[in-house]
Amino acid sequence: MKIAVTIIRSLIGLLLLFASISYFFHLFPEPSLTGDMKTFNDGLKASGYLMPLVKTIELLCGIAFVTGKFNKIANIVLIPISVNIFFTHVCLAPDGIPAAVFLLVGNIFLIYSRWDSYKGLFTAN
Amino acid sequence: MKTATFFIRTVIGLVLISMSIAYFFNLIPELESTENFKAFHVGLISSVYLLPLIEITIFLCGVSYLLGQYVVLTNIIILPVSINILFIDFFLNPNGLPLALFIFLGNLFLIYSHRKSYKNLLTRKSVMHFD
Repeated sequence: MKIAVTIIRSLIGLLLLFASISYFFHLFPEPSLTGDMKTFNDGLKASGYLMPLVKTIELLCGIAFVTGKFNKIANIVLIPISVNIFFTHVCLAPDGIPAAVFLLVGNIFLIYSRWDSYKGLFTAN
Repeated sequence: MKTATFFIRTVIGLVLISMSIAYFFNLIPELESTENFKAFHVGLISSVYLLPLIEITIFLCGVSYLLGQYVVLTNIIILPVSINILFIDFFLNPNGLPLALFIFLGNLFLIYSHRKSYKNLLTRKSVMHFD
């Protein structure tokens, strides 16, 4: 089981590093978007702060996962982003669903693998 | 300290609940807003899932704060939301900045007041669940 955790952690880390570095260094030409996806993307750009914030968090979490440090907090920081990536792809861009599902399920799996550390959060009072 | 926690928790809970109710019953008047804010808002609407997801989250978190149940968990679920409210108001809608600051700082204060519960997340050592 430890090996599975290491593999999934590293894969997610590499995926995040790839996504954030290719954003920051403009490694790929922007894909031409259509319809709702284009409106959504333009809206995110208009906000000014959102894409840099998301990509910075992805970069930091990617580094944390690849190096294996601070993983418990990285899991929690990442979960809002992986939920949103999942829903964006489900609602707007079905091509990316496999990667998005991998990210979300992997993230939940990593949380489950350290469940004892998160138990304290679920106390009622 | 306990009184302050209770007070801030309750006020934020009421604010969150009223925000979500205003969204679900369309009580918000059309705001005169800048071009960027409008583009951002149209973008959020065209994503289909995002606004309902946020408003449901806000409603549940508001109820949790108001009742004082599962506050430790609610604090970290609402943190991404309050960070984004803060940034949106800072960059696009300065009128809402005081309320956004109150929610964000209140959220940080509530996390601080329950800091013992989060200690586990910041330690180096951890036990694998399956071992």
